[in-house]
Amino acid sequence: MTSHQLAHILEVMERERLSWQEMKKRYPDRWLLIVDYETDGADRLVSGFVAYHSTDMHQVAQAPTQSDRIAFRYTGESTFRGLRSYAHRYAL
Amino acid sequence: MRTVTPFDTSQHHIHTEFFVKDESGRHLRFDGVIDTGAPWTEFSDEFLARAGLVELSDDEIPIKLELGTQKYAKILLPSITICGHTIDDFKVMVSRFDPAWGIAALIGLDFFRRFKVTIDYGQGVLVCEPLSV
Repeated sequence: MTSHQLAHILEVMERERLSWQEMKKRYPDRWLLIVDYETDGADRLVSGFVAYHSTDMHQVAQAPTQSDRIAFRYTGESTFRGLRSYAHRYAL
Repeated sequence: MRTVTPFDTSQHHIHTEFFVKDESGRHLRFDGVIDTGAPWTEFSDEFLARAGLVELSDDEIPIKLELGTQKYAKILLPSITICGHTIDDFKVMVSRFDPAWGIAALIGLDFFRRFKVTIDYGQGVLVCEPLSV
């Protein structure tokens, strides 16, 4: 076992596996870096370890991790309403 | 192969999880929105940079208020998997996204024109079947 692999195992052992519902409650309106996630039969993320969280997408996008199973998710409600909505908002 | 992918019908748009292979071969999982009004798939430059597929520009990329994104480059993704279907060397637009959207990509018609697609709101599923040649 390499030192990187050992470090990763220790890193994960210190964390608590959370369900996606628990992540949304514990880290509302934040970007998450989730590692060692598990999926359901429909291949949807159902649980994992939150390796990093922030309201700043850039910080989460660049956060380091040793895991091979990496997911990025936002726990808030998406404000995306379609590109056309922008045109309507700024129409003359 | 016909695939059936569930989605949350309570959300304003159809969100779906997808994978991109990064420069070291790891699969990164993201959340995206199906955008049937977009001819091309757009990808957040922040997450493409994470995957090692682009370098972030030092220049400020403004988001055009009337559009919501700012496309500024095109790249070939080595591999992307959406709704259980993997496509290699898939061309996407590199865009600056509004972080409040909470997504990494807008999945456009360039992906879906390769499939027979059924959006079934009754069952809350996307059914994708490759077009027979």
